[in-house]
Amino acid sequence: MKKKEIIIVLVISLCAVGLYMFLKPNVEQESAKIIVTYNDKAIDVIDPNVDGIYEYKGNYGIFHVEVKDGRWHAVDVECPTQECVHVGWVGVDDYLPIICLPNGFAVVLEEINS
Amino acid sequence: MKTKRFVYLTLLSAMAITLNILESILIGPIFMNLRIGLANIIALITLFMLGPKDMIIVNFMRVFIGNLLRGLIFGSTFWISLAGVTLSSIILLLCYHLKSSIVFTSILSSIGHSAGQVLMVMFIYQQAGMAITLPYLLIFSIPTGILTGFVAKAALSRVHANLKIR
Repeated sequence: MKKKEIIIVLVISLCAVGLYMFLKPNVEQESAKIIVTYNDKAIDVIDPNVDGIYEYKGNYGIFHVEVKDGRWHAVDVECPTQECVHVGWVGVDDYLPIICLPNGFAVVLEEINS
Repeated sequence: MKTKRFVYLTLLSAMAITLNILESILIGPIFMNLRIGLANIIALITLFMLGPKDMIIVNFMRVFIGNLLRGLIFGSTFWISLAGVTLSSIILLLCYHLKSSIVFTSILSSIGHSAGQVLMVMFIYQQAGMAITLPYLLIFSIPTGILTGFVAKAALSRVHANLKIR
């Protein structure tokens, strides 16, 4: 790799870190809510501070979201790719949306004050 | 010469499709939905061996036939793959015309692939929040791009001079 190319790669890395800091929502654990959307429509609001397993029927099969100790993950999902399960546990600090494309679900974090 | 080119094009397409399917079955995502992108090795080899036009054919054959064989054709996964491959192919073409090194081309192509996929997910699911995954994918695309770039470079260096079509 040329020197100029190495510099470009470093700049991209720095931009990625900067973009992460800029996009990361500053959500407090107390006011955080997990929004479950199915085919672009919000179908459920889950409190991340209350442990539980939530079941939804998707386009392909059953989709479960488990909430435990303020963190959540997709588990026991009936879909061919299992990519949402590979995302693993996520929480308020390492905010990541969980998307299950075959079932049409998105599990996203939002701050709701009321 | 034309027959020879077609034979190589067919072989490379078959390799890309096989790697694509094997990776999704045996390796899976290494982080979130991010894969190593083994089929990108073939895209790079095709680009530097046969040229840009054939690289585009191999890339699109990989998406169409790969998704067809997995039963995912025209589903959301297919459109996401297509978006990733389109952006990645555009970047490959630009880098090729700018005479960039193989590893650098591979890194940018890997980034383009991830960015294209995220943009398509944002579009399909109307989830602007998906943009948060972009920095993760950008950072993880760099090592995967370096890996595929080095493999492609090593493979190209082993291709005997008289086998080169270009």
